[in-house]
Amino acid sequence: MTVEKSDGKILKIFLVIVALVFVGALAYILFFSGSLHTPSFFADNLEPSADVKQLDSQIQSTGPENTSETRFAVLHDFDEFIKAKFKDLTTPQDYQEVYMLLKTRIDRAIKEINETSVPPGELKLWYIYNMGIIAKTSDATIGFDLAGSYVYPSLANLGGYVDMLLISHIHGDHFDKNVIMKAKEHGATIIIPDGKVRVDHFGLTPFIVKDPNGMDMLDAIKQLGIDTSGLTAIKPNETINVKGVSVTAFSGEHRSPDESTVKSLYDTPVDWYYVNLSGFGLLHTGDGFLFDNVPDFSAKRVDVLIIHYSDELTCEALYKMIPNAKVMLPFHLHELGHGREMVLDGGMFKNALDQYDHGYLKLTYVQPNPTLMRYVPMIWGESLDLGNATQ
Amino acid sequence: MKELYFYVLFVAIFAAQTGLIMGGVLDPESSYSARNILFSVFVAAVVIYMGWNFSESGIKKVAIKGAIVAFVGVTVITCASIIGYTIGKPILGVYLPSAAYMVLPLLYIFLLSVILYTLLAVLGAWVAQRFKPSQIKKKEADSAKK
Repeated sequence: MTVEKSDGKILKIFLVIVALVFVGALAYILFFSGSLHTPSFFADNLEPSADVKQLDSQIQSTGPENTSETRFAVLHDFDEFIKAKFKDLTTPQDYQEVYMLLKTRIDRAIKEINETSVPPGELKLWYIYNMGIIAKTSDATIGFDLAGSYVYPSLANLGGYVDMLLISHIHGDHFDKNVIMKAKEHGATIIIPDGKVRVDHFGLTPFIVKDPNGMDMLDAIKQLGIDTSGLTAIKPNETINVKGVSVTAFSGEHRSPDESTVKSLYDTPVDWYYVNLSGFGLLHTGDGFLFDNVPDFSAKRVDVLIIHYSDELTCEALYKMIPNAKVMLPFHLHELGHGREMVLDGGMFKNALDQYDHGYLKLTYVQPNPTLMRYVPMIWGESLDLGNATQ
Repeated sequence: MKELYFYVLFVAIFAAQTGLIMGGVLDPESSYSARNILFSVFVAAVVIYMGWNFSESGIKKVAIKGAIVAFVGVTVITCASIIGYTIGKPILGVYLPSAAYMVLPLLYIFLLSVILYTLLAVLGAWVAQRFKPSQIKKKEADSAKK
């Protein structure tokens, strides 16, 4: 009888311990998991399929400067590949081949960025993913909106190759804590937009939204469980000079897909960054579009205008705002985190190619048609020599 | 076999399962690969055996034991998922916008396991009450008394 009682007691203690561990683990996941890495679904030694190899070799055979019909066909084939191979990001089977293509192209880009030394007076750009781009000169290497480790975890390593990382706003497809961690390890300057904000939630997803009575941006990011050491928040219209690179922030409004309640969650501080890198002017628009007071870029040298492609109206508005830009790069395409429907609906080259005319921006109601502005859609991991592009 | 031993055995089984997932021997939880199905069949067999073993305590108590096994299992998987996120090895094998979203598949696994393991344990007890020699003898003795 005593033995049975003691067994019962031990059993109870065991079950209490299991319950405590369970509750503790759930609490950790809900409140303290902000700094955890996204694990990769795929083995490191996974080989690309024949389809991936073929498309990659087609892409390699035509650079972004190429304005021939072959290039047009490659961009079309890339769209078709995404359409056929990308179901979702839910399970490995849903996007294995898209992952392999991204991996193949990003691994090659990382190698190139590491090995390329850019001669003085030149600028080389690598398109990474979504709005992510790396610009390298003989003086410095900078990155804008490097994100996407949720699709390909090793993309985070790019943070280790930049001297400066500029983040337009705190949304997952632009602000990637894994990239930031690598950039910090490398000693990079990391710039984010400043502003008064609060943290709202949509389901389990936290959103940083504008709030004049709220807290500072860095405090809000801390609330997401992310270490903010090494992050520099810059105010609208503020210019800073770091390591010979000059950065000016222009505060815009985040574009909203509709007028529903979700709108308020998207209403986050978002910056355009105008960067002077070794004499080259780069303007990155993040997801910012509307301005209360439209900034004047007429006196600024804009060699590269990097935009969130949405539709012709957006292109036209941006063209009119910065007509002196030499090259427009239409990005924010094929962003897999937005889901298959949104990618196929408006996030494909086929949409952006409506404004493409043999390498120049074509706008229905703007003369000359096409305009004199170069228009260069780019594929993950491709590079562009600015010297060639602006000739 | 004592009840506690069974629960400890299940901790070991689920720890081994998640260890094998981290080691790449088994695929993540969401995968229905042949190896994962085989492992699930093995776990199901042990749950049925537990039901068979405790059939004397009655169907209701056996059902509770099945639910406790599910709870023990999901606790181990929850801890392993956190470790997996920390070391970059997927345990659940589903894309999540952030680690906080882990609670959703974990609750799903928990609910599914409670239903499944309860039914399997009850099945084991039910079969034992009809075919286990000690249970048959007990039934015969009970009916003789009447």
